[in-house]
Amino acid sequence: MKALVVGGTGFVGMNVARSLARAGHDVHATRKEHTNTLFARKLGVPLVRADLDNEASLVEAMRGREVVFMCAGHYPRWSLDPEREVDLARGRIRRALDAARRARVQRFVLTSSIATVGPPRAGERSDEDDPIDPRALRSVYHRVKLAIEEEVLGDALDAVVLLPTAIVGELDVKAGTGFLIVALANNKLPFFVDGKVNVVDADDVARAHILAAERGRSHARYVVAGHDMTVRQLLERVAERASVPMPAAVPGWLAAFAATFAEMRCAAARDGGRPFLSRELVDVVRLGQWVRGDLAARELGLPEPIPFEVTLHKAWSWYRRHRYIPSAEGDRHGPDSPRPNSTRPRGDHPAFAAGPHG
Amino acid sequence: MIIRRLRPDLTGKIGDGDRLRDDLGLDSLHSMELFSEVTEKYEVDIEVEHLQDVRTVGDVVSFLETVLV
Repeated sequence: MKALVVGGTGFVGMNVARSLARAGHDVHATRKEHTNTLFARKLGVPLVRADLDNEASLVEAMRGREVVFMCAGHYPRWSLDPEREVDLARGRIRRALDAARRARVQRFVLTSSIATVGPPRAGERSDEDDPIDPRALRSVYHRVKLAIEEEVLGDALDAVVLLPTAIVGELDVKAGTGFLIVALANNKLPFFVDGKVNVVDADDVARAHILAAERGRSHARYVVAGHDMTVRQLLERVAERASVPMPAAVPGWLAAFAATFAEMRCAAARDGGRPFLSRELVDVVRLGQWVRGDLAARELGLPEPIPFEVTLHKAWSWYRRHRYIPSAEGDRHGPDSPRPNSTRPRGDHPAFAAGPHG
Repeated sequence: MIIRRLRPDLTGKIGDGDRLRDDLGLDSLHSMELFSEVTEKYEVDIEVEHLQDVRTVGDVVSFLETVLV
């Protein structure tokens, strides 16, 4: 297929673009004018400039492409002004949909989030039919994701929506879910909020995108699931691998308060700094649930998820190769500690400054 | 210019001895973006791992001089 990945320098976008290229598809990927392309440039996928605030640039990038993989979208950095964030999100996805129509794109695959799925009506695991928890509508991240989905599913364009769970894998430049792994591996996670989480491999998510383009039902939503666990269980696996102690668990309400306070401080400073803890991460964990990926298996033919240990190993190796985490036991230092050699971790790594950026 | 875009609140002159993190407030994401832009501008390819020892504005210049030779 002739594909365009919008958001080709982000975590999901790079994984999708890489998988498409490896499968022999003709793929282009978009980049913003000012962005980090250090990793995307190495994928061998042509990068074209396009911006969600510039419809003409999107039309130009989409022209001649059969399928658009929408792996970008408005990502709320702050939770302090939800209405503004939702409006921005709706405006940007509308521009992308309009551009796709003008460029005569045949199929639009949206990377959404499990955040738009609510708790199970019955049993222990949720699926695509479980509506979002009304409590989640107090979270700007959840509201933004829901608004984007509403725009796509309400449009006449042939679209498929994917709902990946917490994605872990290679090319996680901004440490999304990987924030927990990176921070703990550096022994810089002072506390955590326990809750339900489902972890899926980035390669499985990329595969789901290709299958959705090829086999997905128009206007269908598909959960892309990996493995159910608790945050505690996830962190215990990381702590064991990194030989670091487990951090303390704190109540979700306390972490939410701390994250909101951190955001307010950064917003007031107006210096471009990032909060040490994002409200989004806290909300995702507080409202997390276990899920079923049966529909994607049945209709898309998505195979069994990659084993969690394999996923963790791949992500770990990538983080270590790029110095997000220590390369050896003796290299773990804080930002002010002596740094005897080039294998040290970065004390100023984004994982310690902002939480997920997914 | 790139540094001022990344940190629009910076005032005063930026010198070779300024540390990217401690003096200019650039975290690692900022630093990667800085390197991304300068390597695109000068059309050089680098391994991200090699950036870890770059600490000051002068280091950025030295790094570029090395890879451009």
